[in-house]
Amino acid sequence: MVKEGKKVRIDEKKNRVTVTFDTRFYEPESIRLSVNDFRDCCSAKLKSEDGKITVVLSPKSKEIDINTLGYEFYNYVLGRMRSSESRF
Amino acid sequence: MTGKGRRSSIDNIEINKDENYLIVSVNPKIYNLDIVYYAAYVLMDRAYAILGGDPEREILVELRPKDNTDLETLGREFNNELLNYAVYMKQSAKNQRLREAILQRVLMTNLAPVEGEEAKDPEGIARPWREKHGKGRKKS
Repeated sequence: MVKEGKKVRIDEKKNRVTVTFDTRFYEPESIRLSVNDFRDCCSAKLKSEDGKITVVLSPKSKEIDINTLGYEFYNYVLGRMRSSESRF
Repeated sequence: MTGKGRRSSIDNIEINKDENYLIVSVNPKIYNLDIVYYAAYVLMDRAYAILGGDPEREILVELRPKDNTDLETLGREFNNELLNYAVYMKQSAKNQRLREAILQRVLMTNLAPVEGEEAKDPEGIARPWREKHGKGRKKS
């Protein structure tokens, strides 16, 4: 079953979540760094096209809730942007 | 405002109770993107925040509570945070010159002492503790 969300797409069957970032709001560098930080707990793929960056995350452990993973990643990127202090 | 997705001209919150999220619409001419970032950051421990829309015309902030927080309350708190940071930034811009002047003054007081001035130490403050109280101290 694929749950369609606006920016977070959860594929429970394939155990992966796809999140899409608008680069007008999210810095590509912060997204890349966040993907790197998530590599311990998830396998991650990064695609970039037309001002959008798509990240596909597959949790390595069953303890990770796939329904919140995408949203957690969104929050993490926002936190990363703050710690990089480039925007706010 | 009702929870049926209806929006009034004052309310900028659209609530989707079925999927437990809300969308706050922000006018970037009133609150710029930096203020929106701050407000979203503050609520990050209680909600998931996703930014979208058009940064020039209408910023849309999607908020999903992590716990059982009431959706409307969350949206209104976000509005409060927007206002909070807008005021903070305005005050910060106003006080910028004053802050710079204070910092400049602090740095100026840190200039090298005038010759002979450092030798005056009647209370012995400049003498190290070890020299005053430690073993093998010089008795004055």
